[in-house]
Amino acid sequence: MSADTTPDAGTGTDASTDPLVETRGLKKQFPVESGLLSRLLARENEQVRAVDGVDLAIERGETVGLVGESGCGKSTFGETILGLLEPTDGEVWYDGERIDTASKARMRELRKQIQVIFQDPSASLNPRRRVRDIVRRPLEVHDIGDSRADRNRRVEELVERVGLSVDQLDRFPHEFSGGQQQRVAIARALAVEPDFIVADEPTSALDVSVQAQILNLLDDLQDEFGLTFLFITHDLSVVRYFCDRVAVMYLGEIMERGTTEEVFEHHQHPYTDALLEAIPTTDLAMRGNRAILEGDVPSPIDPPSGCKFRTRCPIADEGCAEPIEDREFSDSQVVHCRKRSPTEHAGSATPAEES
Amino acid sequence: MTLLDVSGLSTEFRTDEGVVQAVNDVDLTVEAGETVGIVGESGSGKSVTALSMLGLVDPPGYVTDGTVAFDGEDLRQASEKRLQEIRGNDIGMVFQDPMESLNPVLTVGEQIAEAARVHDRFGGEGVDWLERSLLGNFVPRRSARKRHPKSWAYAVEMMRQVGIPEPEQRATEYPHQFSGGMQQRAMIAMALVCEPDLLIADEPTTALDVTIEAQILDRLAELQAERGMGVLLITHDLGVVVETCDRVAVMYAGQIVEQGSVEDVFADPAHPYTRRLLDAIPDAKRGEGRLRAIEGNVPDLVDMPDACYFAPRCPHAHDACYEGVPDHESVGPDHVARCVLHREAGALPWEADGAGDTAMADGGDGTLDTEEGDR
Repeated sequence: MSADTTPDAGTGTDASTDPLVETRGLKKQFPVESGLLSRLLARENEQVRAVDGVDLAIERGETVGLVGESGCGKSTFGETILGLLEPTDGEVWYDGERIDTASKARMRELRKQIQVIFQDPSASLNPRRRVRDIVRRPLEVHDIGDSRADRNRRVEELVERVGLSVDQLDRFPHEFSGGQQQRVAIARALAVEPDFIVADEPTSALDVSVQAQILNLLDDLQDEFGLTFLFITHDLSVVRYFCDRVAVMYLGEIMERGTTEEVFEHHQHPYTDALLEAIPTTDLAMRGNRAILEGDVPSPIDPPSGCKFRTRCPIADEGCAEPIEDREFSDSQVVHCRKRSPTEHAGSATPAEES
Repeated sequence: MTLLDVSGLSTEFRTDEGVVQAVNDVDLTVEAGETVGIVGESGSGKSVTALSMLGLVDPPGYVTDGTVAFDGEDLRQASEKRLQEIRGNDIGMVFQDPMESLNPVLTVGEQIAEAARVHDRFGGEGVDWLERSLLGNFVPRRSARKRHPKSWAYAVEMMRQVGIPEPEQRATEYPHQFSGGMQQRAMIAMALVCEPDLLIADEPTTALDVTIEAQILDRLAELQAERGMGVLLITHDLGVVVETCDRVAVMYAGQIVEQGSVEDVFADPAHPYTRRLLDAIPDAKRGEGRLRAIEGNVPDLVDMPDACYFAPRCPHAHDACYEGVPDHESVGPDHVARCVLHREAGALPWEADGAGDTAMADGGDGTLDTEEGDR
């Protein structure tokens, strides 16, 4: 189904071994609003370094989870990939094509292949439109389908596919529960038969019982339509169920990335350790024995030098203030930490002893 | 000693669409020094339960029935004046969103000091009639530290106790200069100013990141142990309950459907809702495979049928479930469940026949309960 919507099938086949989506050194900075006085004095503008040099590749058909705490830049990263924000520096590649510099017209065509699901469905669905119009709109914008009847038929198929019934089509979004609204948002994203979907906290606004329904739905749809997902979330538990690979972000940088198995079972970065440790679990046996990370996330306007996590890190020393490199622990696992090394921990399931 | 003893508490909201029974016959006790969790999904009535206890429900909401005995005194019979004395003094409160609760134009230190002054902790530093009146808005506030040195010093000390670094400096700052975690610490400091016997914390860490949440819950537990407070913790997060609570009440559609010690309820849940809720949670430390969703949606609370409220979503529902609302049945010492099947609970298959993989089909049926009829 991707073939008929891809305008330039040539690049598609050439690049089929390459990742579907790739960012290289992606940076996004926002100027801090400054007062008139400092502008008159021509002081240098401070920048919020929301995304600070991210290399990430997403292979066809896989789900990559991007996790981090609020303010770490994960949503900004998603919006920059989508072309909703212009990167300050770096490149975004999609299917062998550089898209951060693509024209508006080209970007519009690409939106047929790249879609998004946002966190709050009540805010992302037009309250004055009926569900039928909401789901049909992308088909009209991209001129998919031969006639109105044809489009309506597709809308009905989509709505049933996401678990709503056809007789709910003429209702307005507010008549639905949060979970059902998110199903509408998913149907709308699927309408143009995309290849790649950025899902930005798609279940964070939902209750756990409904969250499970939506996650299972996304999982089924992925298998059925061969979708590739970038799944942005603050919730590591969700990632474990849903993602093939995981990238852990902190203050605009990727601290650790690897397969889900590697990140959850053989995590190496002290931040990943802390994040996993902090999750309250319903396992009675794990009760009350968790190490708690001290301190707050530093400001992204003036982040720590070297390793950005060093101010909260239990194993940091002076050397961590110097610029540090990514280190490969395996073909897939890359860790942004100088204190942990591949040889020391090779084959060990438990993270390093903390000294 | 039983600090708080709530019995048969019911609250309804009289809306245009009908009467919403938000809290329905809730029984709950909190002992001194104990942490009790109320857990439930959004709309299950857990926050309204707390507000009802404190007489904070405004029309169209009405507390219609029940008693709320706090330290032997029935708060439902108490005058508003008496309730004002109790709130803040004997019962402290912390709400979910600290930014909504803090005054953005006063320094944090001044707000915490004010909590002490309102209840006149330090003679001569109370809030006088002038400050309480409209004219109070024009009283210059800058020198709070000098005008109320004892209250100010106490506020700084409270900030230190809740783990705010450099409290002398931070007390002079405004709420927007605080991070979310620090704001919530300030709220806790404010709630603890009068050394309450009971602290009601309504989703105190929901707006926070997990690493910060862990810090706050940890500090809260320490403060509780030091002071021997009772804590009523309202949360939607079952993990938070396990980490912090001694006992738990699980709410669904305005009712407590299961109540007992955390060990009993989590190790051997007796109500199918509790069991399936536990199953629906992704667990970062274990789980693989597929999540087991609960079919359908939380029901609309208008005109609920005289039956088990969970029955339409319950894999084990049968005729008996539709014959009246089940009573609390004892399933063990200090462990009750509102389920007609409570006795067989342990023997029921964890997963009902073919109900594991239902993300698809349920969206449709689930809507029957909620969408039809009332709209």
